Amino acid sequence: MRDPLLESKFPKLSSGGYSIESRQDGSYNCVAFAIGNPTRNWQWMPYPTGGYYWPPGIEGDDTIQTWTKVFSIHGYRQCENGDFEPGVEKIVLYTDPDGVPTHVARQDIARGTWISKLGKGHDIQHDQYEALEGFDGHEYGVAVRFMSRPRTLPASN
Amino acid sequence: MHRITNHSFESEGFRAHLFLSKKKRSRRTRWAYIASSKLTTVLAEESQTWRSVKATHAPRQHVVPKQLAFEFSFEQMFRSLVRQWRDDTEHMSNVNKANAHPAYQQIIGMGRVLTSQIVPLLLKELEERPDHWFRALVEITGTDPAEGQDTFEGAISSWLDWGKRKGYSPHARSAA
Repeated sequence: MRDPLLESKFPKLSSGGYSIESRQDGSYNCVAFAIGNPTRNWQWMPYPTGGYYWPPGIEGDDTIQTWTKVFSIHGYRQCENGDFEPGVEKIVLYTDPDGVPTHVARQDIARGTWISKLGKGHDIQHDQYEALEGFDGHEYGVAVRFMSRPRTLPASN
Repeated sequence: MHRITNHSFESEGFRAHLFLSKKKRSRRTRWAYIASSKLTTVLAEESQTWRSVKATHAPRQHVVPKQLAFEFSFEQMFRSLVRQWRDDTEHMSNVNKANAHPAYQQIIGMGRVLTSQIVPLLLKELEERPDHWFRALVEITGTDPAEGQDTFEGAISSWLDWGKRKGYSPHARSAA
């Protein structure tokens, strides 16, 4: 199913394959989705605010370094690129031109495509991580960091 | 000053229209009447044509210009800001960036001045179209009844309960 409104906000989606995988839901965000715990909004806040979760012990600010620490405690280590490797689950972190983290997408370990929770919107599957890059409107800037952790496909019956 | 048509001129966004009296139309054009902006006098000094306009226009200076009706509704403005913020931040994954959006900040500003009007509207939004209004409510009310809640639903519940206790809930107001 294609969504013209979504394509207008992320123009590169229209030139590649993508599909909408869920209804819109603001109760979890891309970090929660990438880690595999889509029950909360994982968000560092400059002032304590109820409604958000941030792992205890991760001090810092809204920077790529702090986001990297969060994924590190879930077994991710920095890697070179987003190329598909069997048995490895990868994530990609995006930042805006000021270096502020804007999004994280996770690679589907079965297909090698990417899956993302778009803000308060849908979960989508997209063929290329580059499909969400751009600086013109609602895009997430540029992919700046890749991380990976070993992962195996669940056994099928 | 730019000439738009034979009888219209424009300068710095103001437009003046010149109307000719049919009776006086002859080989030598005479300006009989002008309806224009407040800049007419300034413009009139810029050319021979406008000097003659100024002469015919001068006796009408005492006429009070008709003002257009201007109505302000804070609720309409609130709805408009909410719509703008929702549209612009729907796909923002970083809540801090969404909260820094000018429309969100304007709602906080309105809320600080019109607390008793804006807080019920925000709580109603939270109830009917759940979204990230937590930071705005904290900034406006100076309290955080959702402190310690780390889920979206838990925080919404805490704020709605708080609203009822404080008499801010739209339901409590209508029932009272």
